[in-house]
Amino acid sequence: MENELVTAIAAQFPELADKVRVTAPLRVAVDMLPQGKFRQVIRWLHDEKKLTRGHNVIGTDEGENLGFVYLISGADNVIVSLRTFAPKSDPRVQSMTGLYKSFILFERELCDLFGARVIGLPAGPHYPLPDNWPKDQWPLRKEWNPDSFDRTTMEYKADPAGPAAAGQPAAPEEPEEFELPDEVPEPQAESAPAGGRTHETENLVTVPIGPQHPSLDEPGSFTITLEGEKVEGAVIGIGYNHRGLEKACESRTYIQDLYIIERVCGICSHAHTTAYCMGVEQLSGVEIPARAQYIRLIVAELERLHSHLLWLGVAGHEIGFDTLFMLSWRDRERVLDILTLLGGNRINYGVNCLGGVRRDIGDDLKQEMRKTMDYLESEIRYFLNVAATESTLVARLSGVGVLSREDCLLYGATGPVSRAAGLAEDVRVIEPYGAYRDIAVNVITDDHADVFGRTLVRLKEMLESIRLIREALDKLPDGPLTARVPRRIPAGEAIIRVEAPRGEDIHYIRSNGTDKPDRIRVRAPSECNWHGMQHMLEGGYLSDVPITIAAIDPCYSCTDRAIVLRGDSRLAGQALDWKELRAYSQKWYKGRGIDPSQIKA
Amino acid sequence: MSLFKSKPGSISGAALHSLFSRPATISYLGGKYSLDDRCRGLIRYDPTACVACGLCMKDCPTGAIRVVNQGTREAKEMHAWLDTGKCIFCGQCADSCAKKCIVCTSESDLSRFQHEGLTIEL
Amino acid sequence: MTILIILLKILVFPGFLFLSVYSFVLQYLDRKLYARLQSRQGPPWYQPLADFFKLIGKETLIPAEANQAMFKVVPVFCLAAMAAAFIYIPVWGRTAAFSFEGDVIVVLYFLAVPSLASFLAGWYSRSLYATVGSTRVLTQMFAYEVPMFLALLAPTLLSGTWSVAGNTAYYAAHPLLVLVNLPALLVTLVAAQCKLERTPFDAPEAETEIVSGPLVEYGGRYLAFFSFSRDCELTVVISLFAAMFLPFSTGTAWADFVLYFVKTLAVLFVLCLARAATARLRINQIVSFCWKYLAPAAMLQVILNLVLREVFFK
Repeated sequence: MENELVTAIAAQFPELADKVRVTAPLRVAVDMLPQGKFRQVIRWLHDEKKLTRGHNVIGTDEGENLGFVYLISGADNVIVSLRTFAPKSDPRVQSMTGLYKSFILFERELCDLFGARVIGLPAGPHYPLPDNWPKDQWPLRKEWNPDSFDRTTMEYKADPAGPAAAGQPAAPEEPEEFELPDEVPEPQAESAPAGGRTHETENLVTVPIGPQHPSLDEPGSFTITLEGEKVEGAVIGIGYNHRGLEKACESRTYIQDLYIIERVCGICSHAHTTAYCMGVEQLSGVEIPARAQYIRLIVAELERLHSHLLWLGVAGHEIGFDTLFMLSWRDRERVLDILTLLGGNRINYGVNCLGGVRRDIGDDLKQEMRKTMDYLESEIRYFLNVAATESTLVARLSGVGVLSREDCLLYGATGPVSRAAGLAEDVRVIEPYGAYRDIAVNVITDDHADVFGRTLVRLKEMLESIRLIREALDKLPDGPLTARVPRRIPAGEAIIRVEAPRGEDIHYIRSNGTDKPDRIRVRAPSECNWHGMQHMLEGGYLSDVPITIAAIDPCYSCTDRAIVLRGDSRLAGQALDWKELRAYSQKWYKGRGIDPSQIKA
Repeated sequence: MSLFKSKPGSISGAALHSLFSRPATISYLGGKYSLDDRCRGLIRYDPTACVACGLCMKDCPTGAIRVVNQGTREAKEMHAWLDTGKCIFCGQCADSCAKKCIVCTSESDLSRFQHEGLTIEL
Repeated sequence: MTILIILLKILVFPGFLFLSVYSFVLQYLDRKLYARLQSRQGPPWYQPLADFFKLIGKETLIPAEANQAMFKVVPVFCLAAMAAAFIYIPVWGRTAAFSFEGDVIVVLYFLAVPSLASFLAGWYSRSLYATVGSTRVLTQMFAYEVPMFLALLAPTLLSGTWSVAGNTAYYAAHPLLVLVNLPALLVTLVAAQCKLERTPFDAPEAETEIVSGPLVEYGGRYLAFFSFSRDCELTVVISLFAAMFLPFSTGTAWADFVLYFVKTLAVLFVLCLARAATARLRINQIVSFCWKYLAPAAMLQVILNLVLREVFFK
């Protein structure tokens, strides 16, 4: 399959015959191309070879230039990575959102983190940096130093000859015209409502859900425009949990980075570390022992059980079904007990290490696990029965948050969201990794394409996970637990996919021969599930907003925004930046007799 | 609502069962709670086996551990300090140590009233 | 002397003080039962008292845009209405502290006050979530008022009297006729859950959607009184239900008083189980459910009672 694609590309573009190669099973890499050639190739691949699925756009710092890596794939699941570049002095690049709708978020990230200017990108809120981030600071460029940034005043205290200001009209490297893509992407809804849109404007009420709201476990801002109870418009703003992990990874060794990657998410932590370890092991050419692969599978399926039980509880809570919440979380505690015994911690169980796993499964733990699996199976069958027949639950979940099969493909949804629409996509079956090559997985699909379908898919996936854990425990081979991985990883690139509980998780790791990585890009599954959110929210009811948001099982990851004050006539409609907000809040507290200036920032 | 075999309140079976069995939660004050030995908590350090290789300091993700030789090369006098505020209890130091002088215990009662009290000597 | 006794009846027993104490007890039992149904521990017995006194001690913040006077006065209206409604409901068998012909209508009107108070509280708070919540309160009222009124007035068609104590006395004398009123019993049970805004009908106060609905801006002592009046509403509704549909009595005042506790606790158990075993319905689903199922059932009961009265009791 990969070879056919290479031959086809070489046949269509003979000048690229030596620049295309198969780098790994199901991976084809194309070397750095100038922008015009790159656009030709990607358009041909999209239109002729039907590589219509966009996975990621990764920005890299190539010294003088900014590099852009595009990952796309098609029906045969081969990921093609295309590269292009733009000079740092004039970092303009064409947007690919006309071809791949799901690239919108990724290209916004290029603008914010690298300072690239993506032509043709629809207008929208900043992602992932805050709106009041200083204009010419681009964190992911190698010359940007986090120690020179003062978080309390939001100022960069390095010498003024820092990164060049954007828009310097230096002569671009290739004297070409930038054509807009043929399909002009439709304009995004207006950005976060500045200027205080007050209560009623022609019967439309704007209700903010977030950033702080009881229905969200992590901050995210959804500005819902209502007419009565029906949602007329929704503006999604995410980016509140951005912690700069990718930059942090670049200044730490591979061993230290394992723990940073683990903490990208609390519930998919094992999936992230598995992908990372697989990437490093692939780059250093190490094959891990079979026992370690089986233990990785067992922990991954336990994590899937944990995540889906947690989701069931959260979904129950969002629709007001607290009993389901409490009962499913009681069962989740049983899974966490097993994970504590296995890994040492309830959430970020550090089972993976570079080269294998750190902890073993003894016979008494096997006993314990089998007992828990039996208990959980009966409980999950009970929940499946309740979910399918309980009338209030069915009434709340069916017909809500509909994302049809075509929309899933268009917006690039992955995981249970797309499986509930009938797409049988599961990375464990598409490209089996680790012990999934020995133990086959049945892909669970459903036809409802709404939140009810996603509930059924997740419940049945839990039963499937229990079956996989039992099979893995029976077949657990003996042997060592780790293989030795050198400290310095040879230069190269690795693109690894694993099936996290929420969908397809892609990691891109680039090494440069030292003991610190050059670029790590984690594309969590929730990042591509967000694109369909606006489509799902509009036309529904206000009551459906929390459950629709919860049904894609979001794992937010980003940062802060400005605050708009309503009501106070002196400040109504004014956007405060960080300094003004601090001053305002200090004055407010002083008016009540509390002196906050004694508190250290 | 009429498309499915709908039974309202079908979870009352499990609810009533929970009513007549012991609750899954324990009272905060007065309830018994203990951590398994396999949990990762505070590390324990053996200065006699330490050879001052510094791998634990190099591999620590947060830079929480500090090992210092206060003697000479021949007559080592090793001391280690751990900043429990920075430590993420990952156990990498225990894995990196070639002489196995760092061991993970499950001690987790590590809170202090002062910020300075968080750095403890192992 | 009679003025003193009247005041004692209104303020102490079975008036305001008894209502308050029993409301706290019912709130505790409701929360404890709800917790145990979910395999949790539940609060200790003094929790409702502790919550009340804690809220009284908190700082009260009233939004600058809200109507200050209405904000402060609405909880008091609510409480006063509940205290006034309770004195007409029999707690020791077949007689109430005060009764007169037509006090069923008075009690039902007093019971409409908490919903209106929620609406006013939300509307005058001038907050987005409160506005959505108070709109839902009224929408829900349009859904359950008709079935509830019909179902509560259906027994009076057979008994011929429009006083609560009179109804209890009549049905206590003819216990088999309670079976005739079974549809009205079921309709009132569901409508009571709707009136009290408890799951599955708690769309007005949907924590995950509109953050506590009409009362979102309330805090401190006003919230304390609002929650307290909500508990009193629970007691009044349960007592009214027990008086109209479970009128079994032995004749002696003391035994009937104990029986009153048994009846109200049984009804509380059923309502709590309903609360635990269902999810929250959307407001349009509540309206369609009430008009599709409750209203016809109540009307059926009314027709049945009218026919029975003409055929058997003339």
